[in-house]
Amino acid sequence: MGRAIRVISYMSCILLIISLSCVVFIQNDNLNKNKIILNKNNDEINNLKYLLDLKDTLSLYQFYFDDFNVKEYLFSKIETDTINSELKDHLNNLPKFIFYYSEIDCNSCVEDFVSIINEFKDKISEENMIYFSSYKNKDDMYMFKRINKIHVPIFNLRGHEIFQKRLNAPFCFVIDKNGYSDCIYFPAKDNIYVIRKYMNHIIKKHFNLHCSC
Amino acid sequence: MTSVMRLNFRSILYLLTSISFTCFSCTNFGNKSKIPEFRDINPQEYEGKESLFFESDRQPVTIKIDQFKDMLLLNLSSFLDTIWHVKLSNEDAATIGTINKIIFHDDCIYVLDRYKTKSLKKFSAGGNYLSSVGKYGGGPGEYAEPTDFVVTNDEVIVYDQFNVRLNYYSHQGEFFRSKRLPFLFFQFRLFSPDRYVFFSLDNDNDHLESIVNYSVFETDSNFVIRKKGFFREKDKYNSIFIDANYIADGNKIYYHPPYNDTVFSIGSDNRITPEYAIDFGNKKLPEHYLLSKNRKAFYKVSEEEDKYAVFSGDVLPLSDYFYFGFTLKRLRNSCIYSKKSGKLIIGNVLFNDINYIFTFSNILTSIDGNTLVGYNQSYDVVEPRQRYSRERFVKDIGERYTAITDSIKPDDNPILLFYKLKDF
Repeated sequence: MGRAIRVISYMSCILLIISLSCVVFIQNDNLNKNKIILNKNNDEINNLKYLLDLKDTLSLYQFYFDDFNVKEYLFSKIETDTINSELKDHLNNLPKFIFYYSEIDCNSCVEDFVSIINEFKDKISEENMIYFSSYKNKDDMYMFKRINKIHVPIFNLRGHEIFQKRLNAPFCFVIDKNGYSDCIYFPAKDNIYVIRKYMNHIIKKHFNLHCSC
Repeated sequence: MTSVMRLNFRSILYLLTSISFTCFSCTNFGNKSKIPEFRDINPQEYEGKESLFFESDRQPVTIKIDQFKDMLLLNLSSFLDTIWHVKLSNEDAATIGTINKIIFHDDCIYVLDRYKTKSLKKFSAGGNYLSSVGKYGGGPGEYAEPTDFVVTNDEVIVYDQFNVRLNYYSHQGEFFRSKRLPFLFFQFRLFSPDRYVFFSLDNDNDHLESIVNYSVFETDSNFVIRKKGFFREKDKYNSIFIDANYIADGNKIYYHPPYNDTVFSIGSDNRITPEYAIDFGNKKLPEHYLLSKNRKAFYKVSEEEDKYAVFSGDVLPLSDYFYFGFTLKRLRNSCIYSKKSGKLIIGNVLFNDINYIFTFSNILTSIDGNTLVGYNQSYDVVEPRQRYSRERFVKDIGERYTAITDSIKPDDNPILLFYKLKDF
């Protein structure tokens, strides 16, 4: 009788331990899963916040761009002698594709986009491309130019940025043959297909070339 | 009744033990490694037989700093004989952003750009691009970051910190093999193919208790730890890594524990010798500022006040001189100490009165005993030229040096500079 009770007690203990282990494991696993889901949700929320901010800024930029003669604006800045007058020569021969970034923008976003722009050098022709940027230290600007194999000048607009409100994201647009801006676009780092489509679109629209778009 | 009570007591004991075991088994309590790559490392394979480096009781040469001024103008001609330059060629494959390390070997120059282009490139003595050693990427022979490298008579060894491995290449850049590492570090040197000496500072080597609190350790070619030295409790102090704190010089390694006033050498006989002690007098930074918990106070005292000299690193031993730098209220002071005469030259505003066009900056290594090697970014050389007319420039610095600046474009590759020290 005593032996039977002992066996039953042992069995109960083992079952209890196994159950407890399972409960602890499941709890722990669920906790980890919840953490992962929470992190994912936070990422999604941050992405959405960023997109909303982007949408606002884009609307603002498009509002500016509606009746905004970039050429005239930049010429007025050149007259102040703060922007290299070499830019004047470039703006006398329009249209131009403009890539606008800042040294504080996401570095890999800028570099990835520049590498895609480089793929279209032959179609747009390098002399039709202008890089605008905003560097505190010119050393960094020339280093960026060298590393990214940019063979056209980068104009440092520090203090004369075209837009007051800036997202920490690079963007591009075209100055059409009349000096007005068009096709403003914020390239998304992960969407190379859309970036290429955009490049093909502006080539077709502004640079009078046939393309595969 | 008694047997039932004994049974219950035993059951409860079993139960408690099992619960404790279950709970601990569900945590990562036993695994100290923060790095997933080290989870399967068996510490017993790498540690257990190590001992401390021998310590020499030799007294270091004391260099007393007695000039602390906001403006210490120093003409380069007061300590330099000549300055010459090597322009690194500009083809796309040769592109370098910033230079973190230079090694001269067999009339070739190996240039490491750890951060910008993440590359190791080989140039001829004249600066022509010869080849790249490995490249950025995830495949065999590629690296996520070339953190450090050494060149031996047989091969080039590149440390990829992110993939925790050493890659071995021929001098022409052909990939041989890679070796997985059981620990992290910043820099390494080789005394022989079976003798690696590593410099690690607060790296996440928690899985290897024997080295986690030591800054320098020596291993064989299988990374079994044999010697260790320079105790420094992990994460206790400000961990600011400076490349120029760990320098190979022939059969010695010079090591400067960050912010310590003494520079040590580690010889091929496994002996640590204090070589130079910098005496900052009442400007010596009290040790409590170096503690991690006092980081804010440290930045305040080192950047906003001129109460204390900060000797973070930046040392270079030469045959007849000892070059080092310290900062006082963010102003960098360059010092050259002559071993022969005991004279110390010091300055924080350096004027190049030898050829006017290059600055004395980014000193990385030395060659031929008494020649310092550094580099200038091209823009820094071209920029003053852009401010003046050519006539004015020729009048001020002469045709020869004007022609040199005319041949440089602001986005050209960096220019290597060789500063030969003169007798003083």
